[in-house]
Amino acid sequence: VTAPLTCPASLVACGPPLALGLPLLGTLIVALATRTPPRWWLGALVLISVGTLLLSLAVVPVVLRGDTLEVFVMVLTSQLWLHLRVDAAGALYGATVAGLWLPALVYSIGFVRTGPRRRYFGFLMACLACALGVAYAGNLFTLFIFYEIAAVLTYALVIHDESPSAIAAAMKYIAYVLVGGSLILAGMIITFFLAGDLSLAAGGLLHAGMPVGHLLVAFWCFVAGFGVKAALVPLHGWVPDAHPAAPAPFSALLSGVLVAAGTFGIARVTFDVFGPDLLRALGVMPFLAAVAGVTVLVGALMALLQDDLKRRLAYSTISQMAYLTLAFALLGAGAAAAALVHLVHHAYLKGALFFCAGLWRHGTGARRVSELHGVAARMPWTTAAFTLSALGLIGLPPLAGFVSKWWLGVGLLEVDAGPALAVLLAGSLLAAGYLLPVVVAAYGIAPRRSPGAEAAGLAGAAPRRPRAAQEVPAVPSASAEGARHRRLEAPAVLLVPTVAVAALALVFGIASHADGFPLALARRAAAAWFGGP
Amino acid sequence: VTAAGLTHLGPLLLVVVPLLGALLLLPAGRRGRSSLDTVALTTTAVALASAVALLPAVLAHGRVTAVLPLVLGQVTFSIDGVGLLFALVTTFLWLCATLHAGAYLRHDDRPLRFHLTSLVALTAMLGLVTAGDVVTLYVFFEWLGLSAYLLVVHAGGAAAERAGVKYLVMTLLGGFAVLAGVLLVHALGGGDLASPLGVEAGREGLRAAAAVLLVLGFGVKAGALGLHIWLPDAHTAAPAPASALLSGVMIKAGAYGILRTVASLYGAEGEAVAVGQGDALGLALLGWGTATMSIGVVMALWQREAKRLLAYSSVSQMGFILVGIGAARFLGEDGAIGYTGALLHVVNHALFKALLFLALGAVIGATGSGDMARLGGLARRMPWTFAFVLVAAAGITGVPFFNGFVSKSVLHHALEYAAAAGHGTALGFAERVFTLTTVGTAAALIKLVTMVFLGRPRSDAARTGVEAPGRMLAAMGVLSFAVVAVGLRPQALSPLLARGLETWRLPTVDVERWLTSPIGHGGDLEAALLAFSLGALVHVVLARTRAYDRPPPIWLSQDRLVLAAIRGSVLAVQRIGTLRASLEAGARGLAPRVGKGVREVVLRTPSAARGAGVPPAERIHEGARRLDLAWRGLLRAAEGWARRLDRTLRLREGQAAAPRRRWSRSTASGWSSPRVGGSSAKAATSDWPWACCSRCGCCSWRACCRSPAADGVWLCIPGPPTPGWWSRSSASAGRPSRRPLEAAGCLATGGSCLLHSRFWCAASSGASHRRWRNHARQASEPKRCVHPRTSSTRPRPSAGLGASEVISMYAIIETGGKQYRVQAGDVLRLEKIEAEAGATVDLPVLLLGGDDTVTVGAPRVDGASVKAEVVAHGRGPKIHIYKFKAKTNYRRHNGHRQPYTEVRVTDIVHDGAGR
Repeated sequence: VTAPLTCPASLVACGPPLALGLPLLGTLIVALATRTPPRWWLGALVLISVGTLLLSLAVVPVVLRGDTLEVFVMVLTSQLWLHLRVDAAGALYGATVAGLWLPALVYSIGFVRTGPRRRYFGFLMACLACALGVAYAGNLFTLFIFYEIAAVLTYALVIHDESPSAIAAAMKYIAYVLVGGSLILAGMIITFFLAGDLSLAAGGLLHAGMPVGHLLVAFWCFVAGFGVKAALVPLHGWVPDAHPAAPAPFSALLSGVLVAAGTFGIARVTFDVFGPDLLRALGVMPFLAAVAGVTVLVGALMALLQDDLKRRLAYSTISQMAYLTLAFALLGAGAAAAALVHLVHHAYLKGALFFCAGLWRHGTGARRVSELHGVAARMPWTTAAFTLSALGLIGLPPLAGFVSKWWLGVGLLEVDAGPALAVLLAGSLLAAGYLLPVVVAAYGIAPRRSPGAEAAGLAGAAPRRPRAAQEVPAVPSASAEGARHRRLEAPAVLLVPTVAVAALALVFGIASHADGFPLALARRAAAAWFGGP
Repeated sequence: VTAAGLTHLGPLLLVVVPLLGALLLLPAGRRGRSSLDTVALTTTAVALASAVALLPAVLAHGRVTAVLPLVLGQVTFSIDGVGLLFALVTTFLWLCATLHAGAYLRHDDRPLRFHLTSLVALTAMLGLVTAGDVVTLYVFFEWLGLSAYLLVVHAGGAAAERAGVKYLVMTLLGGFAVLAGVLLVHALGGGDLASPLGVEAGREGLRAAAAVLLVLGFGVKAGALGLHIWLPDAHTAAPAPASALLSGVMIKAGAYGILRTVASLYGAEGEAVAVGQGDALGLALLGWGTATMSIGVVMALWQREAKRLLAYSSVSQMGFILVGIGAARFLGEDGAIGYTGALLHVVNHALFKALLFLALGAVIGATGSGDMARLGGLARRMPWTFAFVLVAAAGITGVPFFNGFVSKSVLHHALEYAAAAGHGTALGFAERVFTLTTVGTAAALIKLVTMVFLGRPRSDAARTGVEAPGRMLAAMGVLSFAVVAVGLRPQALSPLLARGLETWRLPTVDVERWLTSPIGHGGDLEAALLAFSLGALVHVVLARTRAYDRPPPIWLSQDRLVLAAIRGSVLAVQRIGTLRASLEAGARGLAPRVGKGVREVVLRTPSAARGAGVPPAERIHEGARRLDLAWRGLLRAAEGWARRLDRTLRLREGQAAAPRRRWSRSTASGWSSPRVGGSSAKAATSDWPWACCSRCGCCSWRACCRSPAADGVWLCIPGPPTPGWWSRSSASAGRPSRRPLEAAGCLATGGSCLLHSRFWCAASSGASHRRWRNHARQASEPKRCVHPRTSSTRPRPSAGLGASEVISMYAIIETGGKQYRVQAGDVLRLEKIEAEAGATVDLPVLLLGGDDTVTVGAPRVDGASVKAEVVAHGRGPKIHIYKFKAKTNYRRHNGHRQPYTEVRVTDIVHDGAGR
């Protein structure tokens, strides 16, 4: 097979490789700018991130028309080459990645003030490029390469604190992900052995005439490999450790888009490698659905038991992302489209929640739910953003989460999956169980239960200084009385991205039906996968 | 834009107006309380006006629709006769409640939050009743439920928080049930509320499931039996205007949902309902409604907190509405009468119940308490409020010429028809229950009026109550006018009702037939008067026979049942959630042992093992021991998790976080009137807490007891004894001989509870209760009993009835592994202490109590001790220990005399620094 190295004349078609290249340029800038003041290179990074976002949005109208952009990047061997192909699903995921990365970058500027900053920002931009690579991958090999590089880059971002717990968490993470990666590689080898090709296209590479044993092994290798990143129980062990360890903005990205990379991989394998028909014939999907259903419930139940806010949110991610796998596993067009919508909505909702968790930590030093009593009085904007996102994630109308859960429910009923619907509703109910207490505590409606809140300086005492050096807020050592009503609201550089991302919950909820919003794109993607209109 | 176009924007406008008002509140909030009130009042008035403006269009066209392309494609606002009826009631009540709230919240520190929440809830309510499809209905239903949470917890404090949690849990459960139902309806191809859900072969199960889910979900909001448990707490905890809205309007949202489900979605066209052919949905609703109304009224009768009584009465009245809907459904094509009754009762109940809650708000504002045991005699001090309450009570008890009479008569006839059509005894029985419930309602309301407004004031606060401010009176006056107006001219509502029924393709002749006159039809008048007089009789009998002392069984409240079910399922779910951790912990215990076992098996061959000389029996034994160890490790891990969970749950319930008050002698005088909706009113937060006073052992549902002052410690009310709250003795000031017996208040002077002593006397002396009573009547001084459990020989101070100035301090000490309740002067026998006779010992104090404060140590009260003088040492009476084993000739006889130390408590020392 020869792969022509072409760059289409159309400017839009140059978008995807450019979108990958710009962040790498950013990494280069950070690497080279050893003597420049940080504000210069940080400004450049923000500009690059904006450019990336625009590029990722520019492909949306094209794929909405039903076209697919294809760019061959690099031939490695006659059998392996890097190949970008932007279809509706890829454009949706890519835009989500770029859309969350920009606020996270801005937030990082305010949040990551100490430690190896340049390392953090350099890796952050490289990671953006790789995540976009996963989104725009045109064949399994490209997907795998970017997926693995992103995984390795993540390690450097998780250990940013360089505290023993962060290093331990990152170690756990990398062990999990590398094992997962080798399983994907195994699946890829089997696929290549069977099909002689690795390119991704709707309908699938494999067909029912191939040996069933090979197909089954390949499928479960893929599921187990991507399932590590997608945090399917029992492969989720790294999630609750890595999230609290990472800096808040990167926790947001990890939870919002990088866990979704695993789920996105599962979707690619399901629809573009195997294809719905083959999977129905193989009869493996009920098992995957069962695993996903268990993950939804276990993740939500574990979230109920966590006091550490970021840990609670991490378990919530496990639960929420399993909705996607559940919906993909049921092989229904409506369910798959709804799952993609939920991917987008969840990314922003969970991103905002992590941003708020970081701000609370930043402002008051409180990292536990029990320490948050009455924080709303001192950080009203942050608390409002958290409330909005939490209500959205629970799925209360008319916020974003409601829209995706509604279509998930409808999609599940289309394929007559009653138990799955019950799991979905139970997950939502449990989400209310683990998120609403945080809101209630933050508004101080409930009486104080824990001495932790006093220790965190929310009631009277001066705020405790956070232990981590990077997050030291400028807390004036005022008298206890004076500090009681002092606003601890974060500076604009932290607050604006948080509130903006939280506001998206409302926008995505109310205008979900508008053209160009996730629903339209997701329906286009599902139509490609299932051969609909 | 044409006029027609404007009309079509009507429903949309109706929803948007309050939302705009809510936005305007934000700038108004900075300008002060009065501008806040003005904006809120104006907004509700405009909302009412826009609802009224829709009247001609709806009467002319039957339905006005507006569509917004939002959320899931489109949000449909479509208002028909029924919706407009609800919208009119909603906006009218909201206007009255907002007017009232302006005065009620004069001293509230968060008026902005209240008005903002109230207007958002109004938006949701109006969105709900104008919803044109099920999704819109669900969206606003959820919105309403959540915004009302802030109204429930507005007063703050532990009681409000507990009520809020209960409310939130139930609302979320209901919301998710509705969501599931709505999803199913959507999957069945329905969704438009204007047209019934089609019947599709093979999907009957799904159809039935959707109906059940929807009715259950809406039933939570409607306070149907079993799902009502949030309602009494929430109503009691919320500020009075919010209670009026909750009871008057918001629980009607549930009824509205059920109505829409039963009449619109599962309406006439979808399935042919033959009359009396045992329509399951109709029968179920009838049964459920009957149970709700009867149990609700029984619960209402035995309440002590006035708002709680009203809340249970609301549960009962929602039962009436459910019965109406059920009868209509059961009657099929002849069901118009049922819907007419139910809809009319929705309007009526909204009017009189809101009026009652607002009036109680005035009472609470004047006296600081809604505790009927401490009110009384307010008729003279609050004549206008009293008059309005009389009007409302006449409405709710169904006195002719007041509104409740009309709707109850129609509902009664509907039930009679259903019974006739059903040919069954069950419905005939329901009809009798209906009549009994009317009697019970009358009794409950008579109890409320007599205890709050008549008789003698039973507290200083009631003695000094003042008439409500003008705004409150205006709100109540308008509502009273409406109560009377609907009672006198019910036919004014018939065009709108007829329009509503037309949309369900039901004959409207019934409406005109039943709503012609205020005196009803044959026999109604007599029945109503009979019910009222029977109700009065029931109240008198219950009061005279002290039946109010003996509450009906606790399970009737359902509260604990449902809560236990919820808590149990949460616990079970969390146990499952912790399974992994338990397994991990177990594995951690197991792994080394398994490893060792494996090593043994792998490294040593069996022969080697034999060579080691370990006999097989021992190896088996060893294996079993290891298994046992591993199993125990697992169990221990599970136990640890369970205990942690238990603690967490208990913490969540606030059991361990009861408010603690400072000990101070200065607060010893007189009453401390409980904060409205505040934390101290335990009586307000549960139906019958069977906890007993730690001072005297009297049970806390009595008038004499109140709040858990600290963890599980219950105390009687100190201060002047309260005259019996249930009896007429409050009026018998000239007959002091009867009062002590009926004085339910514990005397502050030494922990002798007159009520309790009654029981004790009966138990100890064999005298019957009546004999004790006669005995007491003869005595010039009140009789007192010593609590059998306190071995106090100290002469007690005289139980002067105005004993509020007597300060009594007591402590609970622990020594010798036992706890004693002591006061200065007590002589008691402790487990032996190593001290010379005549020496003074310090005893550690666990709890320090006084007139109205209790200090609980953790575990000891810092800085407090009990000084006691050792009187003598001695040995107790001989105990015989006889051991005997059959057939072995084993007999042992031992005697034992337990040494003790007799001490006299000289003083309870406290430096005042304790928590």
